[in-house]
Amino acid sequence: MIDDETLFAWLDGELPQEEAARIEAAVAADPALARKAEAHRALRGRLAAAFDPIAGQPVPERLLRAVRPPAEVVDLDAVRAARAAQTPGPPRKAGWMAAAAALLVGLCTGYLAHSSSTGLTAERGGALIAAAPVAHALDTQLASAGAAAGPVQIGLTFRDAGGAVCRSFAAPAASGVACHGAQGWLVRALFARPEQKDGSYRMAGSADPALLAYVDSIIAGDPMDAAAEASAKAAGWRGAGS
Amino acid sequence: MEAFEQGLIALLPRLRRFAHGLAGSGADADDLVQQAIERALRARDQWQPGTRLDSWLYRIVRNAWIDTARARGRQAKVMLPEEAGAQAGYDPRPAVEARMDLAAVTKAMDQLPDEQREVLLLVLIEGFGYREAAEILEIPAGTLASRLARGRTALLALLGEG
Repeated sequence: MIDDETLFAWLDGELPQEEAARIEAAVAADPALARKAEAHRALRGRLAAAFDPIAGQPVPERLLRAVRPPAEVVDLDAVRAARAAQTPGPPRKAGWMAAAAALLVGLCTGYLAHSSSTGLTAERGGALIAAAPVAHALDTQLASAGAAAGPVQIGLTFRDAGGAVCRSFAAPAASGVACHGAQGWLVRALFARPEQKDGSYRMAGSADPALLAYVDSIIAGDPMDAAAEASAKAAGWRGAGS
Repeated sequence: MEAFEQGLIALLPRLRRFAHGLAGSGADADDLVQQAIERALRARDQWQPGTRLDSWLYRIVRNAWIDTARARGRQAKVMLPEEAGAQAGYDPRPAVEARMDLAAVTKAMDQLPDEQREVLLLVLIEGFGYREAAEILEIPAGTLASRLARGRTALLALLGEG
């Protein structure tokens, strides 16, 4: 007879190898026990699927500020004053601006490091645009055709208030929204997808609630249906903005 | 930026998820995380470099939650979701499904005793081993195992097979 605590410890990988093998054999030999183990495995999966998107959301600005309080910025002035006192001549504005910029970059490291290291985006003329694999998917894939074979999945296609055609996408490491403009697909929002314990990323189909909230905030009207998506593609995704 | 702040910022997404599970609503959760950040910064000398920063911070979040939300008494618990509302209208966006499931799971977890819920959160969602979870909660390993077993069984019954 295997009690609940032992079964759960086995499911959670908490048993030493020998005992784990014993429980595994017992579960394999007992259909009722196997069903119970499966139900609890599914429960754990459901909890993770429900809660994980929270860890994928951008951290609210006020929490980042709580870690790096504005006092830090005031300190920059002090640094500038000290530097000006040391070096004759007018204070070098570029110096402290660079320091302030570095501080900002520090605050945003989570995003910036992510988007550049994953190769999802590129910079063109100061704008963040979708890099090749994402741009290709945005150009060619129809969400109505079902899941794509490639790493990038397209979600919704819709127009924003300015009339531009926008599409949500999901790549292994991040999901986001891009809108078509003169320069190509302009990335309007990017959300990191949390890495799973086994090193893999969440399935592309499970969109981030933060992404959905963003879509809700810029969408004008309803998402396009299959016919509208196809005709937007035929028109080269051109909207009022491109 | 110092390693302490960097570590703290890197852990914020996970701490928010944990706080969300404890508080049961997004707004309260961020208040809780903010309080925990303030406490952690004040107490930073008590953290020993080389020990796990995550365990230390989870304990602070959990203690902040005990001191405030629990003392105030949790908001009137909303009972089971209206079955009708759950399926009203079809939205093709997959995130809607995840969001509804978070609401359903949160409501079910709200019905568990606090001491079972915090154990479930740490082990099943935050992925801590039994030993680390017991240390965070400052309870014996046997107590952790029995709360985990009771909470899990109750939650499965509340959520059903689906």
